[in-house]
Amino acid sequence: MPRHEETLQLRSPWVTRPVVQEQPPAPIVERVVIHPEAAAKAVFVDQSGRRGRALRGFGWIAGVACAGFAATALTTVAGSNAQAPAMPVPSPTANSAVLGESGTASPSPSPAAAGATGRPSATGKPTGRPSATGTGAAATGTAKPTGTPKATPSGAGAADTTTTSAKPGQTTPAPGARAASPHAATSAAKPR
Amino acid sequence: MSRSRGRRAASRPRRRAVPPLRFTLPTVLLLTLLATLLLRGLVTNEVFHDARINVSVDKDTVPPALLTGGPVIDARGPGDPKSYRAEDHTMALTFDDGPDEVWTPQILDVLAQYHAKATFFVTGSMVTRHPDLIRRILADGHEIGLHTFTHPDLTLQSDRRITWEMAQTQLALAGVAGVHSALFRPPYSSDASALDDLTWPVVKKLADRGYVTAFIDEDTDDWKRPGVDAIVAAATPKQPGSGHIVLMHDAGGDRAQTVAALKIVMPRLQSEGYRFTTVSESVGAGTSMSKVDGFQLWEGKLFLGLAHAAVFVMPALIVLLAVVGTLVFGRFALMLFLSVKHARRTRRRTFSWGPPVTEKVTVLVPAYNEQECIANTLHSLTDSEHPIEVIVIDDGSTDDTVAIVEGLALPGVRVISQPNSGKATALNTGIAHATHDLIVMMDGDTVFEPSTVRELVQPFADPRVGATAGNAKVGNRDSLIGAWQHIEYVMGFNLDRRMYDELGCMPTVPGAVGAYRRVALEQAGGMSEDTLAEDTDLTMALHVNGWKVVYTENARAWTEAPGSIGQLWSQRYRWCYGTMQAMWKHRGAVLASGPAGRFGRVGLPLVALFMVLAPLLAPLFDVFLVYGVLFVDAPKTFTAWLTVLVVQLVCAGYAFWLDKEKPWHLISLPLQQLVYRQLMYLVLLQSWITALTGGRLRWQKLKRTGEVDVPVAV
Repeated sequence: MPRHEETLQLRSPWVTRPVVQEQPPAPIVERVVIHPEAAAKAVFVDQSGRRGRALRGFGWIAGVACAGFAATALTTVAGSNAQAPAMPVPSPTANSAVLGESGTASPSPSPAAAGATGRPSATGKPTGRPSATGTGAAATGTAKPTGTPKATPSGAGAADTTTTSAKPGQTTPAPGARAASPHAATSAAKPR
Repeated sequence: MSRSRGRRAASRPRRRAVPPLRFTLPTVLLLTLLATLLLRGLVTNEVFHDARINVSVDKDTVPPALLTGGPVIDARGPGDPKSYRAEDHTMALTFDDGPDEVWTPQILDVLAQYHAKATFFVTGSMVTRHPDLIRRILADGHEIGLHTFTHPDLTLQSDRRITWEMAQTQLALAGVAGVHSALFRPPYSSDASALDDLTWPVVKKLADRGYVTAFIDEDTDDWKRPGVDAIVAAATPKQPGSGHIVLMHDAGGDRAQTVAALKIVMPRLQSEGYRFTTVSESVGAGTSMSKVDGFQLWEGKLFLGLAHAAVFVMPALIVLLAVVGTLVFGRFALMLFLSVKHARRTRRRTFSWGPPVTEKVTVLVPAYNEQECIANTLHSLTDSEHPIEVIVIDDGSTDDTVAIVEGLALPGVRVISQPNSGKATALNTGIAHATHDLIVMMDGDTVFEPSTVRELVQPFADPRVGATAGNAKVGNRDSLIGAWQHIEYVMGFNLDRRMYDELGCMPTVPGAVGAYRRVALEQAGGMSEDTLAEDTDLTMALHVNGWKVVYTENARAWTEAPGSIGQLWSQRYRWCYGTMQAMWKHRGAVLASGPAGRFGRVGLPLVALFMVLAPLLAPLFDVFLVYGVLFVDAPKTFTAWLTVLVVQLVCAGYAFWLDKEKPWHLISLPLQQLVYRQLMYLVLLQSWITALTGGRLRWQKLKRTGEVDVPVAV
């Protein structure tokens, strides 16, 4: 109950008069003068502001840390530098059969090269052989096409090495020509 | 803020350069959460995942020699592109899509056993997730080539995406092992003859950036798991002695057959004079990898660290989301079950509170500047079927409220005027002047039905009942905001009240329509001013003192709900913060015994869970929703959201049916879920912040202690 209270009654409120009155009694307005004591304290309120300041400081640190994390995360995922490092060019060696620009094939000295494999290859010299563009591979028989059904008339004699498995060759379009590797996705269960 | 203004005057805080921390911090937190989800989704291939595979097309633009040349294509530099193949007696085993924590170590073991070197074409996401495997691959002397980051078909991607895939994979490699590679193999590739007008431009584009593309000679198709023998046969060169680049996989499924095939084919070929080496060495190029240092190295390490942090944090987020989900659905279930029980019990024909209560009742109407509504309110009271005395407490109104009441000249209505001191004090003044033992409290803008007071006081026939809560209804329900609040009142408040009535722990008797026993009020010390929700405070005090608080669904009262977002915000802020204050004030009840203990151990935790904790975690739900819709799978996410909405619709529909309300306002329920719900948790968040920081809200008047005054929280 309010502690400090003085009531000034302008009229006595509730006296039932036996006398019949024509009009109903007018509503009574009481003016109450009270001196409300402001609450000494309210729940949670810290009048000194200490708790607020401490938390505010902590909040700024947390905010900056989070913003920093988010900004950095997004920057590293921006994906800017796609350049590959320098890689030495595979170089042909003297012993390997090389297709010159003119398209002449140099003889392949290695016996292994001529027959069984159907293509000239280096004698164990560790270099690959560039196939020059535009040369008539079939004629010289040096170039060994991969995956083509056309037979190389080079001293191979051997049937076209089907280096491709299950590939009908480039004349056939559509999915058969592509080795569909499964994608490496291991997606975690979607949170819901 | 100036105290001389009335308590309802809005005081604007001074403009600041930066929005206050209480708004920026939660926003930053939520955005960071989203960024974490994105980062984690990226490295687990959940976001930006493109599983489409293109078709083959013609080969008009491909240099013909490449089609018939070797699998390693060097199109760098201005000259003609060259293709290379492995030398004789050289096998270059290549493993795509790795590294994988189960199979790669096994493959590495087999390779080490036969002193072989191989090439691993790794995807960036796997690199990020298994850095130790990459380091082991490099330590064992094998070569690493790039296989993009998310394994998309590059012919279907834009230039920017292709660049991004390569750059991100290089960054991942740099961060993990401090190297980067110039060797590349596109996903879904086969041999050089399969180059076509779509794939050749990609190879050329990447060659312009310095990449050498390595296709294959032999595809073992090991990913199809055709059997160990088939893999071995495919890996064995048909022409003995010819060099091959062979495709195998070390990730993406069960690779036991691959490992078994390796154990067979390697000794066999080695006995035929083959050596197993890397792709670069097999074409005589030495190595494709070189060290990274400087900025890119550190950026790579940073990326790795952040990605690992994101992956690490995710399970915790999932747990929190599960907690929210459980709380939300648990509350629905509890509400429905207990409401049914309550309705069955109170609507039984044989149900009765006791002998009818007919004694006279005092109705207190605290009013502050209610000139628009006070006449309606008082007229509705004079129509009351129950004998009442009305006391209007004028809390220092500055408008014509008092004059209007005087002008009405209604019998049985008194006005007590006091200087403006707040609703709690006004009610206490009213209690002091009340002459009867049953006191009904309402608001200055509430309209009663003729039966309201009678229905409200019938439960007092049970001597244990100390207070009753009526059924507050939203009158202005035809606007959008009104409709939302209408739904909330019917579903939230009234269904809640039935539930709490059954459990015997109702936390709030609504200020708009509630009745009390005078002795209970005196025992509780009247209304207190140390919380902003004096009605909740009082109700909790009654529980602590052992009184029963019940719900009377037939005591209907019509209130005018706030019509604007600003007013709604104010009202809910006061309610929310006030409820938290009241709960904290009565926290001792948790350890009490008897009815107080029951309230403390059942009611308080329920209120705390459902009204204070679950809504705080609700933003998580929205973050996941945004993440799912924008970045992962919009249809699936949308379906999940719809499911939740349907459940809520069912609950709301039941609540409406129970309350005999027409259901067509439920149309606004979906929009309510998108806007209103967020508003409510913003309110809750602000309440938490105010509570934690100890700020004073402008509606609270406190004695100055002489110390630095706390800035008023908005």
